[in-house]
Formats: sequence, C-alpha cells, structure tokens
Amino acid sequence: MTFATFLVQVLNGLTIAAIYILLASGLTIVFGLQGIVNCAHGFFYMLGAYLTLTVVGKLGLSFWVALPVAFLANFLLGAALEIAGIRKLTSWGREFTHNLILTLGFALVGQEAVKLIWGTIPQLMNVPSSLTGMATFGPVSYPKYWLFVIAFTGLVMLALYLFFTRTGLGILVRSIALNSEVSQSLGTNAPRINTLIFGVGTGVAGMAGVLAGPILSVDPNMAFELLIIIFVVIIFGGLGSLVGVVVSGIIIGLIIAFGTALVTGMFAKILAFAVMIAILIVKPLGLFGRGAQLE
Amino acid sequence: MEDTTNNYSSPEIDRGKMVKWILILGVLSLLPAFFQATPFADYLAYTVVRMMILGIYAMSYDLLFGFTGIFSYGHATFWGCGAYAVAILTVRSGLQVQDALPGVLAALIAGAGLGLAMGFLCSRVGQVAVFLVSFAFTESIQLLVISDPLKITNAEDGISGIPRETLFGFLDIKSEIHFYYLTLAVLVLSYLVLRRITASSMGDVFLAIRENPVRVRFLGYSIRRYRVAAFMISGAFASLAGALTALHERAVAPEMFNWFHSGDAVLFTVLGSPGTLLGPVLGAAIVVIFQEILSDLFRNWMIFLGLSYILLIFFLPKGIFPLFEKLQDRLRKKENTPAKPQKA
Amino acid sequence: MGRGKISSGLSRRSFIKMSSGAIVAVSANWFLPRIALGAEEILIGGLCELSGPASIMGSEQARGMELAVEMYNQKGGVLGKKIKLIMEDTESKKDVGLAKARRLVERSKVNYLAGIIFSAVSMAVQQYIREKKVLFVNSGSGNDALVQPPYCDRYFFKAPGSFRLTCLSIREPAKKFDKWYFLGDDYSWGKGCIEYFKKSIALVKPNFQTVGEAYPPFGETNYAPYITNLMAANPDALGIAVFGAGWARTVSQARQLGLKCHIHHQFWDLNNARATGDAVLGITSSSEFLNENPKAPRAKVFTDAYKQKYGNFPGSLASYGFHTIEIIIEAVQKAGTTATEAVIDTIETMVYKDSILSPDYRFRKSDHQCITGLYDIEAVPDQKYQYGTKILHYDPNPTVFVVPDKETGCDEFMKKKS
Repeated sequence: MTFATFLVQVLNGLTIAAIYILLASGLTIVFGLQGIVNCAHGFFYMLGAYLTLTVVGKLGLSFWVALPVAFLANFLLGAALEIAGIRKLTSWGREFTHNLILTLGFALVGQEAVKLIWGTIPQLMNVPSSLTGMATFGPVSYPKYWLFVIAFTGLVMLALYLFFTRTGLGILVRSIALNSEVSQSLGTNAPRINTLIFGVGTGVAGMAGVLAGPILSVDPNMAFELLIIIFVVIIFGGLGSLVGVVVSGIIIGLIIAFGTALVTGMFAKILAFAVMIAILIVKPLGLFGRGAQLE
Repeated sequence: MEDTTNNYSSPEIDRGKMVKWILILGVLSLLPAFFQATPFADYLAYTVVRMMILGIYAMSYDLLFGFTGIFSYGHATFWGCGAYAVAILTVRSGLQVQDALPGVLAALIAGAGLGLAMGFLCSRVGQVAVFLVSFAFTESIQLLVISDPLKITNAEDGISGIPRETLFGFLDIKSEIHFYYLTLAVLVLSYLVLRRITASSMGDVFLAIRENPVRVRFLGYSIRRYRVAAFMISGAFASLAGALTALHERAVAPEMFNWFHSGDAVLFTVLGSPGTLLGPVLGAAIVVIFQEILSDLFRNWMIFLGLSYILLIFFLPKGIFPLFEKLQDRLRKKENTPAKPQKA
Repeated sequence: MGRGKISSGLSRRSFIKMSSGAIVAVSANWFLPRIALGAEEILIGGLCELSGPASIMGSEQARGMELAVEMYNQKGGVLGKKIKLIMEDTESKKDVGLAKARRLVERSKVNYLAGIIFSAVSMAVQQYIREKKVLFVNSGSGNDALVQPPYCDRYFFKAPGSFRLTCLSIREPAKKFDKWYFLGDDYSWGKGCIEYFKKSIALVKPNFQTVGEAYPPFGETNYAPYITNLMAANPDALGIAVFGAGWARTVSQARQLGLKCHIHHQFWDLNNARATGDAVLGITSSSEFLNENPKAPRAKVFTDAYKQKYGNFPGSLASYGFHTIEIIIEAVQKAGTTATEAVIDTIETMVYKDSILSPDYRFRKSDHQCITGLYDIEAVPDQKYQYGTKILHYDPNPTVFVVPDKETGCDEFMKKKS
C-alpha cells in the first residue's frame, strides 16, 4: 500500500466513522439522560433522507435548506413521540422494556409509511453542486463532499460537547442525568428536558440521513441497516458518553476501512465485533462509560 | 366450604385445576384427529407444531426475563445454535447420524455453553447494556456462521436435508402427526422442568434478583453466578426449541440468528405476561394465529406488526393474564352472588 | 407480579367457553375465505422478497405479477376463469420462504407457484414442491445450479436466463480493455458471475489480466475501502456483480471517489440506474429485458401500463414477474386445461412469440432452463427514461457455456412421477 493510498483509506475510515458517530451520538445522549434505547433511531435517519428528496426534488430548494429542515422535522416528530409515548410509559414504570417495544413498533409503522409515501425503489440524492468534484492535496485526491461530511460531523460533535459542558442548560441536563429526583426537587423541569434531548437526538439522526444520502443512496432498508453497527459503536464507547462515541466511532471506522482493504469486508466486521467483546471483558462499561451518565 | 376465593389448599380447587389440565392436554392430543376432518390436516398440524416449538422458546425466555429480570435481546443465538447443532451433527459431520437424539443432546450442550458465554458478558453490565451486548453477541455469532471459517455451516446457503427418522432408535418421528406428539411431549416436559426450577430455591433467588439485586448481594449470594445460571438454563431450553425446529423444517439457515427472532421471544413473553411460564406459551400461540389471519388480508403486514406492538404496550402492559383474572372475577361474582344465601 | 400461578378457581366452565370461542373464531377464518372464493378461479401463489435486503427488487417482481394478472382478468381471465394472485413475503429468508410456500400450497391451495429471487430460497422451495407435485416457475434467480441435479425437476422452470450467459456481455468492453478488476457479492451468485466474467473475457482476449478481485458482503453500505484498493491496482476496466442497493452504491461511490476507468455491470436495471445518477452513463451491461425493444414490441406496452399503474418505470425484476405469469397462463390457454401435468407438457414445447423479453422465448425440455435472447447494452441519456440503453449487440440464443442438451444429467428428475 502506498502512502497516498494509506491516507485515502484513513479518510475512508473517517467518512464511515462520521456517519456512525452522528447516528450514535443521538442514541447515546438519549440513553445517558433517560436510560432508554430508541429503536426508531434508524427510522429518523431514514426520514431525514427521504424528506430531502422532497425538499430538493419536488420543491426545488437547495441541499442547504434540506439540512435544517430535516433536523427540525425530525426534532418535532421525535419530541411528539416522546410526549405521546415515552413519557406515558415512564410514569407507569417498566420503562426500559416497554419503551423498546414501543419505539420498535413506531419504527416498523414509520418505515412502511415512508414506503407508501415515497415508493419502494431506491432513489438518488445528488451531491450538492457546490461540493462536487475532488479536492487534491499532494498525492491525495478525495471527494470534496466526503471531506465536508467529516468536517460537519466534527462541528456537530463540537457543538454538542460545548452545549453539555459550557452552557447552563447543558450542565443542567447532565445534572438531571446524574440524579433526576434531586434536580427535580431543585426546580428543574425534567420531563420537558427529556423531550428536548430526545428531539435533539432524533434531529441529529435526521441530519445524518441527509448527509449520508449522496453517498449511500436513499432506499427503504435504511431504517435498520446501520442500527447494529451503531449499537457496537455505543457499547464500545460507553453508553451515555459523547467522547466515547467519537473515539469508538473513529476506531471502528478505521478498523472497517483497513480490515476491508487488507483482508476482506467480512473479516473487518468480525474484527469490529471482536474488539467490542474484548473491551467488554476488560471494561464492561465500554471505553468511557460510567453507568448512566452524560459526558 | 363455600367461599373458595382465597383458600389455595382446598381440595375442590386442586381437583378443578387438575381437570383443567387434563382438558387442555386432552384437547391438544385430540387436535390432530380434528384436523383430519378438514382439507388442511397437514398444514394445521404443522402450524400447531410451530406454535408448540415457539412455546418452548418463549418459556425459556420467560425464565431469563420474566423470572430473573434480565432483558436480553439475544435469544436468537440459542434458536440458531440448537438448530445448527442438529444440522451440523446429522448432515455435515460425516458421522451418518440418523437418530434425532444425538443432535438434540448436542443442541442442549451447545445452548448451555453459549448461555455461559453470553451470561458471562452480560452479567457484569447494567440493564441497558445487557440489551445491547446480547444483541451484538447474536450478530457476531451470525457473522461467524456466514463467514464459516471452519467450513461446517455452509455459509449463506444454510444446511438442508436434515434427516428425521427416529428418536431413541425406535420411535418413528417421520410423519407430521408423530412429530406433533413428540413436540407436545417435549413441551409438557419442558414446562414441568421449568416449573420445578422456578418453584425451587434457585427460582426464589432468580425472583429476588429481579426485584432487588442489591439486597440479594447483601444476603451473600453471587448475583453474577445466578445470572449466568439463568442464561445457561434458558439457553439450553431455547436451543432445544431450535433443535426441534431444525427437525421439523429439516433445513437451517443463517437467518435464524436474525434479531427478529430475539424480538419474537420478547413479544411472546410480554404479551403472555412475564413470569407465568404458561402465559408466554399462549403468547406464542396467539402471535402465530394472528400472523396466519393477517397474512391473507394485508400486504404491508409490517405496519400491523408495528401497530400491534404499540397497542400491546398501551393496552396490555402486563400481558394477557390480567385479562384472565378479570374474567374470572366477573364469572365468580355471577356464580357466588345467587348461591350464597342458600347454604345456611 | 408474583410467581404468576394461574389463579386457582378458574372454573371449568369459563375455560371451555373461552377455548371453544377461540376455536370457532379461528376455524371461521380458515374456512370462510375458501368458500367465498368459489371453485371458478385459478389461484397463483406469488412468493416474493417483499422485505429484507432484496425487498426493492422483490417488490418490483410482485408488482409485475400483479399487473399481468390484472391485464388478463380485464380480458376475462383464461378459459373462462378469473385469476387470483395470492402474494406471500419470503422476507428474503430460506426458512420463511419455505413456510410461505407451504402455506400457499397446503392452506391456500394454489394451482401454481411463481416468484423468488434468491437461489438459496428457491432451492428450499424446489425440494418442497417436487414432493407436492406443484408447478413452480422461478422468476428471479440467475443461478443455474437451480436447473442442475439435484434441483432440476419436472415441476420446476426457471424463467430468467442463466448468469453464465448474462456474463457474456462483458465480451463487448473486453475487446477494448485488457486489465480487469472484479467486484462481486460474497455469495454463490456474485462469485459465480466473476468466474464467468473471466471465462467470457478469455473468449475474446485470452491474454487479459486480472489485476485484482474482491468480494464485499452482500448488503454492504460503504464500498470506499474496496474502491480505493482497486484504484491502486490501476485497472483499465471494472467488472461488477453486485445486487440490491449495492448496484447503485458501487457505481456512484466509485465515480465520486474519482475512478475513471470503464465499468461493466452484470445486469442492467432501470431503477437502479436512476438511483445511481449520471455516474451510470457509459457503463456497459447485459439485459434480457429492454423497456423499448424493437424485437419485442409488447415490452413498451408493458412499460407504459406499469408506469401508469405504479408511477415508476419497470425494471428487470418487474419484467420477469410479469413474464412469469404469462408463461403460466399462456400455457394454460394453449393446453385448454388447468391440470398441472398438461400445463407442464405445454410449457416444455411452447414458444412464447409475443413475450416481453424476446421474440422466441422458450424452455429446454432437458432441464427446464429458458432460452432467450441477450442484449449487450451501453447506458446513454434518454429523454423519457432518464437513462436509456443503446444496443451494442444482440444474441438470440447464446449457447456458450450452456450445458449441452444431452448432458444435463436431469433425465431422472424430468420423468413423470406416478
């Protein structure tokens, strides 16, 4: 492998990682705060991509409009799900198992609804015209759009990190994650914050769908396709940890890129799982996990 | 004694219970005869056998989830494991095994073994992690089966042509009807064994771990060991179900490790009321019946599957048993009110 | 929630009431629909991959079948009877496919079975239908292991052409390119296609070079690591045999990453092409079906009717689904009866002159493999379809690599069973 090829594979790994990280982050912050796993997360990812088809295709607006639209639409839908469904279940106890089944049911219904509205054939999402073509630095050429995906993910992660560590609201959210009862007695509105964070999670998933569209194309199997590898990323990085998601996402992305390049795709997948299991034996909570906490 | 509502040791109640059991078993045993009267005899028998096998599968999950409170989403591991154990032993091992027994035993051992592994990984982490880890574990096993490093699973294509000739060397299980009775017997036996386990002191510890793990630890028990034990027993029985299905369908495929099978185990148990053993069996039967009814009518059956999950959560959060109890109460009210004044 | 004993005291009466109610309800469902149907219908069981990784193409296949049935029924059906299509989802899984086949045959009592894309699922069903003696026409698998022993059978026909033949189209670009890299799905179809790609190229260019090959798992999402690898090997041309969503992904990602060499794809599909975008222009491929075909004028009729009913143009799988129904119903028409044995005998000798695939589509009696024409095409822009096909070469009966009639080894399986 030449040095140039090596660098390109690193970038490949980072592109793969970027989409995983965006998706996993939404899932892990919801877990960190509410202790539930949202099985419909993949559905919001799918919806973001399909909405873009309409926004750009039918309405003729630009890709750059589609991004916030996807975020907003998914934020609102996610918040609705949280209020109508999850909040109710939380008040009945048995949250975890029932939330799982609820979100799974929601995902199945949603996936079929998308198929009914947009059709079952795979569809094209074009790379935005301002980002077509390759960027070249020395011996390395890489698609501009793919570099943008990496950069954008980095920005989103930075924004989330700053939100949770530097803003009042963010710190408040973390305090609730640590101990809901105590914070509530101090006057915070935990249910509303739960909804907010859930919505942020699903909104980010929607954006991930938009970003992934031009690379992975838009098709009805999106809702569950990546869910498994996302779970691996989250377990590996530690549930509830944003830092963990970034680190583990990058490691897994690189494992997949280099495992595939040097051996085969199957080997790369098995290796990713094996690494996760190995970490679990040594550190059951993942790399950065510390129980149900947001960090 | 007229007031029988709370006295569990009353002989009348025991007789009532026994009669009920005999009735259920009787109905199940006579069903094949009833089927012969229809033009779909084979298919009906086939469907009920499926229900019974899934019933065993559901019961095994109930032990893990309903009794010990472990929410694993990796039960498909055992389903596939048991099935492949039979398939590999009878078709791929070159040992020319025709009897079903070695395969079933292999399935039980493999199931307990995988249960040990999964239990080891899951017993050290919290509730949510168990869900994700068990899920990922199943996926890993599926990947291994597909990539087939040892060249025994036939990768993507699966293994077909599994023989179904005899059991114990002399019992003929080839026909659908004979296999029906075999499955019925295994279902009853599994139920009795699992009942025994849950009623034993080990079962008590399982329940305690579900309710208050911290207290159990303070009492000196090793939670980890009991959780692993629960995984092993549960895994063995789930593998048994997988083995039966391999013999029933006579073919296995890597899709048996698909997470939808794990979801099925959860669905049967939640629908059937966790912690009742019998409920999940009913849950499995209900789901199969619904699948048969719905498939005729709707192409986008996934929507109905999703909707039923949602409805289940909101209307039957504790499963179907509370419905039975409500029904009983209403019937008892009708029986007792006029009867009471008479016996003076 | 305690130990959950069924609360004692559940009286015998209430239990009997409940269970008999349940039995009546279930029985009603079993018998009612059968009675309502009546005896004057022809039932065709459709087994399609409606969910799972092949769902996109499976849904197309199902819709092709539905359209065919609808068009026949509009003309009054066949032999005075209406046709009813009962569709079941194989979920892209072997165990489910087999269970649904069983349901169609034993519960819905269908006259004939059609469908399936995955050859492994088809194999499982084939072993079942031979026991039950039900006619099954596969409408989606290219794998010719299905028409070889031990799977070939009197009751089984395979409507799509063999991948050994569709791979022959690579001969066109092979005339111009010497150094090839191959990318194939990591299962029997993908690997088989790459093998026959190489054999086909060797026919026109014996000294060609394979600079590399790779087999991504079926359903892979991001092919970038493979593409970067193959770019490093510097091929003149890339031969792809990837199915499902990967069709569009491989081509699109390859061009995005800057791959400049020629691309040849194992099979052409309009909807996959549209999902790929302009990256698809210039690729060469093969097809048994063309939306507008000077040799098969009904293809356009089908295409327009499909677009009208479903809103998108039909791809290759839709055409196979449609064509399979025609295979069965035209044979029934010609045989003058719905009896399975007579229909089978008719299919074996019939020539489907008006088929939407090619003008003399027929089956081989020796192994029930189809004989159909093959189009070598190149993707070009098109006003109506967005991406159209330019015919580079047409072969009405490619016989290279086909097992000769006398040597199929299927004779035993083709005999009428008592």
